[in-house]
Amino acid sequence: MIRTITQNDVLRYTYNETSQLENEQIQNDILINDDLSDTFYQVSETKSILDSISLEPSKKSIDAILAYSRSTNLQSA
Amino acid sequence: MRIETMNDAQLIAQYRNGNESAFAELLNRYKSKVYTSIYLIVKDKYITEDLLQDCFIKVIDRLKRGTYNEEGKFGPWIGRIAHNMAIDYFRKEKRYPTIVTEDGTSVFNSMEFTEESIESVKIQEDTHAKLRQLIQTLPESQKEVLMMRHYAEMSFQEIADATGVSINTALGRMRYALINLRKKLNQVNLAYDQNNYPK
Repeated sequence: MIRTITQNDVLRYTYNETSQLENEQIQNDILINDDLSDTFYQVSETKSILDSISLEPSKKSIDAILAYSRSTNLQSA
Repeated sequence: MRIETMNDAQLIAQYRNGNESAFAELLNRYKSKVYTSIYLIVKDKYITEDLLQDCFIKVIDRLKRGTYNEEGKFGPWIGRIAHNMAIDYFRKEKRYPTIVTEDGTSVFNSMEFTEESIESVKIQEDTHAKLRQLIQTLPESQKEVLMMRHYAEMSFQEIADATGVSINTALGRMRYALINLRKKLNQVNLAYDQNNYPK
């Protein structure tokens, strides 16, 4: 189905929420539509920067979680 | 099959069969996402450590009781738990993220940087600290969607359902959040440098 691609569609595409069929149309439209192209690059670039923020919990917390798991018994559903 | 190559659903099945290594792998996969999503809301590393433990204890209880039924969607599920716990914390304490003083220096001391120069680590610390500050300046509705989608890994439809708006409104808020953030980054001259954001 051919429909008009919007900036919201480009955002869904950036976050991998579009179908293969939608992907093909969005990829084509990004190449020929300056507004969609601008949105795609702005959103993708900012997403990459956000991806870079990755904090790590302390080893103490991780060890406590693993210890809790080992001490908890399985139950039947 | 090796633990590292299993998908989340396979790991959960293994864990339900008593394989603790499967849970350790799940924890390893999601600890940073959960920690970061909580920290960006509560902005206190000690509270974040507590909430992270509470979050995974809830996950363990659900998995071991066999009441988890969101097969294939473990990421968004744990993301929702983390997000809700962070929000509940402020409701209980009658505190709001906007009045908490920002102090991320000590948090970044615990970040894992490997095989990087002291100079590049310092650049990353400065950049990340500024970026976190900029996220806090976004309007609440935009910040909420950004946290839920980017760090809690909820789909836009799930966010729309959780916040009581249409999916187009959720998408619009996210788009403005990302574009606003980009503008703010430009204003503080935090240009994107691929070398600062290794994959």
